[in-house]
Amino acid sequence: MPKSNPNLAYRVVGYTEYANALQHLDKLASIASEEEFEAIDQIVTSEPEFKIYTNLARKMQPPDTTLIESPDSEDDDYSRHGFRWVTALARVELAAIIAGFTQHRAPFHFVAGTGYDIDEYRELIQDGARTHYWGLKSDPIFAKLRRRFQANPLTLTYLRRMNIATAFLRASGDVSAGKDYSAQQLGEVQHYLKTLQGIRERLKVSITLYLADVTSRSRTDRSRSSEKKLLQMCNEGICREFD
Amino acid sequence: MEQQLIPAYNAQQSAYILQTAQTRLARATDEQIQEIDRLLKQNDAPSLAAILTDARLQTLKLAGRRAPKSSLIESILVIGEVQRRLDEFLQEIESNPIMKDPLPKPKQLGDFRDLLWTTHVDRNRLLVAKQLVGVGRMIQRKKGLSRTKNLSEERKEILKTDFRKTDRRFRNAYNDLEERSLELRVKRIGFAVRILTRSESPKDRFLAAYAVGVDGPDLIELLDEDRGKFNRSFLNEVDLDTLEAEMHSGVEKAGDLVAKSRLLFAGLHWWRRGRYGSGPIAMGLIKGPAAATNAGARIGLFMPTIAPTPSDPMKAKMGQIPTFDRRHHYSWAFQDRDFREYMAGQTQEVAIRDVNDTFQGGHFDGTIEGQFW
Repeated sequence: MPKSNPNLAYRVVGYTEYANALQHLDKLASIASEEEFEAIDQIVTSEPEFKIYTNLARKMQPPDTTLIESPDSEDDDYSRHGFRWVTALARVELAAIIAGFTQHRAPFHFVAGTGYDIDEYRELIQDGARTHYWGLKSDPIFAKLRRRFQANPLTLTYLRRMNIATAFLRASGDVSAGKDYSAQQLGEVQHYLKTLQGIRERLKVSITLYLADVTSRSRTDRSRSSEKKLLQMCNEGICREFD
Repeated sequence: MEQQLIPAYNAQQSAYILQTAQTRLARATDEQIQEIDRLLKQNDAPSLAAILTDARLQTLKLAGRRAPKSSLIESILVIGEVQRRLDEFLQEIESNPIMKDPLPKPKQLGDFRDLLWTTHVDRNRLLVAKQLVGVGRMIQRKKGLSRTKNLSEERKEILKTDFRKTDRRFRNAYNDLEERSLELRVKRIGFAVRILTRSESPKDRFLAAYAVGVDGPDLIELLDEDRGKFNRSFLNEVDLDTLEAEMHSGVEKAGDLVAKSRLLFAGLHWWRRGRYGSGPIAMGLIKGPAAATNAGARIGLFMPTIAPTPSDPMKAKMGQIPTFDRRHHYSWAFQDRDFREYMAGQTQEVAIRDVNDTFQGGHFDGTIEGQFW
């Protein structure tokens, strides 16, 4: 896996853990019979700690979206339980770390496995894509950053989030096309992607110009340290290209 | 007082609570504290002692040795509360069915698992109790506590609480629990072999395969190592050759289910760590710097003491379980955002070793001789 900073991802809780979980559970899924798979599912379902909640994006759902997730039933509280939900959650968390902290070009594809949990995985990717985009859209700090470039680590931190959101949106479009998203819904995902891409491009130009400008001038130690941090964060993958 | 404490307690502002106690309670009498407790109770809030104890524990967790020193009145209330909690802990642990003789006789393999899980939880709670004892003793060591001539006899007695004695009681309970759980695991081998011989239920066979194939070898090794040193005669007298033969016959009957059960439980173990584990930085989202280059340093995480039940993120306000329903909603911001609560006058740099060396709310879950279980 290509990494701009080979070390940073290892420090994020969940990276080693979910990668190891998937290594074991995917192998198990590949060798278990149908009957055994059912037994495994029963064992997982009997433990409350393996329950997860989905559709977290509904906390910040805008009124004019086509990407609303419908409940499975009238009393659906979006709690989900079972082996496939366990592995799907591990995939989404792991892919998000790879998207945010490495330069992998297709993190969600990279951890997709053999597809036995593709329905659950798709649902969690869609939820993550909505959450990150709507979260950014309603974030006042992000709105301020969009209006005026500020040469500080906060800008770069938001670039990292945009990278994660972009990876989620790309994966969401990929896994949903021809499945449960209509053309209109895919169009909305595309629109989100284009919006983010535009912001990223503008910020990238601003950062490049800023760094070119400051390196051509004499500086104090203090400004050097701040530039170093900007460069370091850039090199850690925040300013990377997407396919 | 209660109007300041309740919102601060709900918002987990431990530093503010301790500062308020320092300034407002310095000369409080027993009667005044009782009055505060009465008003807190009227508002469905915990007692003053409980609030201060939680705040002290939280502060120690966040700041370690840099936590502000406790005042005399806080010391009295916290020591009393710590002892009360320890007594309660011990009572609950003693009420675990496995602590009664004769040992329970489970009717299903799932019952063994439940009993062993409760025991595992209790063992972890005993580790937390040990930390509580440490907090009590640390407060007792504070300078100036000996200058107590104006204190009532009752308060003097509280300050003299014998935490060493309590520590011994907990150590005994821990050893007893450990031995009882070993005995139950021995009995589970025979039960599992019967399941593998007679039952066709894939779920039961999975659990049985784990008991004989994964737990069995570890168990025999443990029994062999400490042979003759156990307090429970059953463990000293169990015929290890017979047990090993029984285990091997079970492994044979289980076939490839042993490898499959190992994959399942190891996978779930890793998943549980990803879902509920906490690192020492950025509210648990990030591991220490050593994790970047040292594979061994990536393993240790703080884990919840009891099996967590996730809360509905749309309903829960405080104490969400898990803390981060999706880590990816938060971890992107770790280099920039401030996830910690700071004490007045404290810098933002808290050494990880301070946090590790002192108190942690959960138990530390790392490898033991290269194994997690």
